[in-house]
Amino acid sequence: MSAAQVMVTGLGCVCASGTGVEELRASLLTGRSGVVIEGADRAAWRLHPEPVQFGKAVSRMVLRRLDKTMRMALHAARQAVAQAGLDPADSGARCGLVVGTGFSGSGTSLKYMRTDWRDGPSLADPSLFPNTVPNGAAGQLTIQLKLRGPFTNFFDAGVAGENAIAFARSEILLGNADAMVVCGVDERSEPVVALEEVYARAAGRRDPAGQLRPFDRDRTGAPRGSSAAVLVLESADHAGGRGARALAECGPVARRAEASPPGRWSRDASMLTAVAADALLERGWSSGDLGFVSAAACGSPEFDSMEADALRNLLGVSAPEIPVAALAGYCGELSASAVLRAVMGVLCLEAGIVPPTARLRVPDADLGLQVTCGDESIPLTRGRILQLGSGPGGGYSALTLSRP
Amino acid sequence: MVTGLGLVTPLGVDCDRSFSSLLAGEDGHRPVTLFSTEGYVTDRGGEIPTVPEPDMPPEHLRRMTRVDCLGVVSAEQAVLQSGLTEAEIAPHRVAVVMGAGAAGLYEAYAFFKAHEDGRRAPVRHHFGELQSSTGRWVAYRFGFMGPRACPSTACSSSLTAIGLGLRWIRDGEVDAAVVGGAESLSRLTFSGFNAVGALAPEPCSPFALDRRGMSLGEGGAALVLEDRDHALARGAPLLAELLSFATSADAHHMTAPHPQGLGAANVMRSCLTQAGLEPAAIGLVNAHGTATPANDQAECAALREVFGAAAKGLPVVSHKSGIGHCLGAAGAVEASFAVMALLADTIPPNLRISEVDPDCAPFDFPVAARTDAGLQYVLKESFGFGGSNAALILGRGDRP
Repeated sequence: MSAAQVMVTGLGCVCASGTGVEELRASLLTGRSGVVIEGADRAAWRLHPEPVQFGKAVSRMVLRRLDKTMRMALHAARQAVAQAGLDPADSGARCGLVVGTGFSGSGTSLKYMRTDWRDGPSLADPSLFPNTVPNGAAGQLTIQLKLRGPFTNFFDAGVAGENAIAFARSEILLGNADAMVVCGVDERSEPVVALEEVYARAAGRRDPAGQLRPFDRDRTGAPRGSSAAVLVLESADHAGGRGARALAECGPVARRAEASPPGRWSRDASMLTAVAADALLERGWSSGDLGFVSAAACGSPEFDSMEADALRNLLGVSAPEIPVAALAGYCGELSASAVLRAVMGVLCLEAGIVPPTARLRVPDADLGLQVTCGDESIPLTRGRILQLGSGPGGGYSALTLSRP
Repeated sequence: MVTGLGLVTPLGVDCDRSFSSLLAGEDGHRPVTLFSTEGYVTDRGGEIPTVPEPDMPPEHLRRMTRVDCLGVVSAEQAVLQSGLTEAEIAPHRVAVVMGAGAAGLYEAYAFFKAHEDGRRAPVRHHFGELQSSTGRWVAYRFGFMGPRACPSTACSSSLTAIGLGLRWIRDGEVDAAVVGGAESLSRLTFSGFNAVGALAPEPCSPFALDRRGMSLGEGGAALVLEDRDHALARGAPLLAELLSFATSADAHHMTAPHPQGLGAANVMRSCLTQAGLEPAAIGLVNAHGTATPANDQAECAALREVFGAAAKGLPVVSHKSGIGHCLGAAGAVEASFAVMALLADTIPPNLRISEVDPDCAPFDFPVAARTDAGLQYVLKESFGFGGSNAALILGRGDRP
């Protein structure tokens, strides 16, 4: 390993398909999704994890200050930091945090405003206000885990997770941090559910969310989920020096964004192809070297087709041979899905599997890809993953993961 | 290098008007008209009387939020000054990083209220992309297709945006970046800061003994950053050099700063180290200076810790006394003023300081503009909810 390598040394997750990486790993082996989308009451759909339990690890006084987003993020971060064997409190300012999120703070913002509307300005609940900011979960993580190093929070409707991973890599490689905790967190809050209805109405769709069937012939869209995922990244030297086990290597993040106005996402396949090619070039890989592609597809008719176009352009004649797995079916559509999908990718590298695309029933044969499906994972023949990212914010990204 | 600047503030709708008003000691606080302030401790804020419209077609203007307009107009000024669109540069080699704290909440508030009342909200009130939409509009306005991000770390958001642009250029990911941030006044933030007891009844007076809290403001700021060689090759104006940038977390409290300014001191020290400068090289500190007792004292504690003997008499200014706290836009707005201070070699004044808080000693808080200041380097810092800290150092653009 070289100093320029950034390694993954800890994983954590809380999502509909598992609270903890062991549950999630079991889901990936069999394609079992914890997502349930049934009935007219969309608030009752299961696109979120079971409420997290901290036992005596976190006091009730602290828990009272944390909203749902923060509790998920903290639970996932505690898992990852424990696995990495890090004690951030002992690292001074050498261990930092970066969070990617799409809607952190939205649920609490509505709750806060209700106290203002109901009780009047002089009685609005001051305890809620600090948690309305989009970096609320990030702030609480630094406080609870004593992370004093480089710190930021990305807010974006598509590639917030990729930006977070890129920031962490940069801080490590510049020598500003020995280790970075990278969190992606999203909450299917009440305003998010309301927003789904608004967008569906604007698009003329009767189904406000869709059934979350990536690459399916009958895909209709994807509802947003709740989840938190955490990676601990550190330099190879630092991990090796303290005897930490490297779970995977995390390569550079290639990024571009289209110049389209909000609401008009052009879904430019050439741009996604370009970032994917950049990511492979950074590692000196060819498309034939890939064990599988972790696609961003979520079941959107247009987006999934665009991503398939980009992948065919990238993979060329290898397209029918390289497995493609879309992992959104395990957790719902997320703004910061990159972190959770990276956690899944590392679990797959460790287990030596390519996971089924959960919730996929009938693969769309027109896409020209070898999309995984069913209830059994397949063996991973090469320990290299290309992970694509995109979203309605107009960003396109690609990153690579490999066995250490 | 900084090769372009754009500003829209309560003091003026461009850089020159904003900066000349700042130097003249004008106060941009006025009665807030955007929403009812009944029941709050103050009706004053740094409201921009008329937000200019960007050069966009009507079908886009009707979708743009107030904060989008502030950000895009600022970017238009900055890009025009830099001449970046005239340069031969691949669109994907220009990044856009616009930070946001509560950006878009003016309209999102209407979305929340409509939802609560069972009504439909206009499309531009949808909160889903509001915070990251400003950067997207900027990219669309100029056709920039490089990486884009929206750092959101409350009141340090846009200073972080500037720093990210620096990083991406130095990493070789892009050749240029349009960076900054925008923020508009909103009922939610006004209510929130009122609820936590942070708002002052009268316009704020950072570092003054009789200060009673913060005032809110709004604004937009954009800077064009370029690699020095790239800027020199195309003859771009070299307004200032961005030497270093750092972030950190207090890991202490969601709203209160670390009492000794631990995280703040870390970013200041890191910036000096990265820039290869001794504290005595800094000629001006462009402070966060919110005017809450805890924030000002913690910031000064951090400055004392980092500057040591060089602290005595070091000029420190906070522009929030003139424009209010622009939250997510504050860092970029104030950093833009720092660039102009370097260009004019002039230190802008603090307003309403009749007596400095002894806990803020031993710094110099100028109360009148100071010309021929001999400025070479300015330290700019911003701090925010969640214990976020960011700082950067700017130097004169004409250094060899």
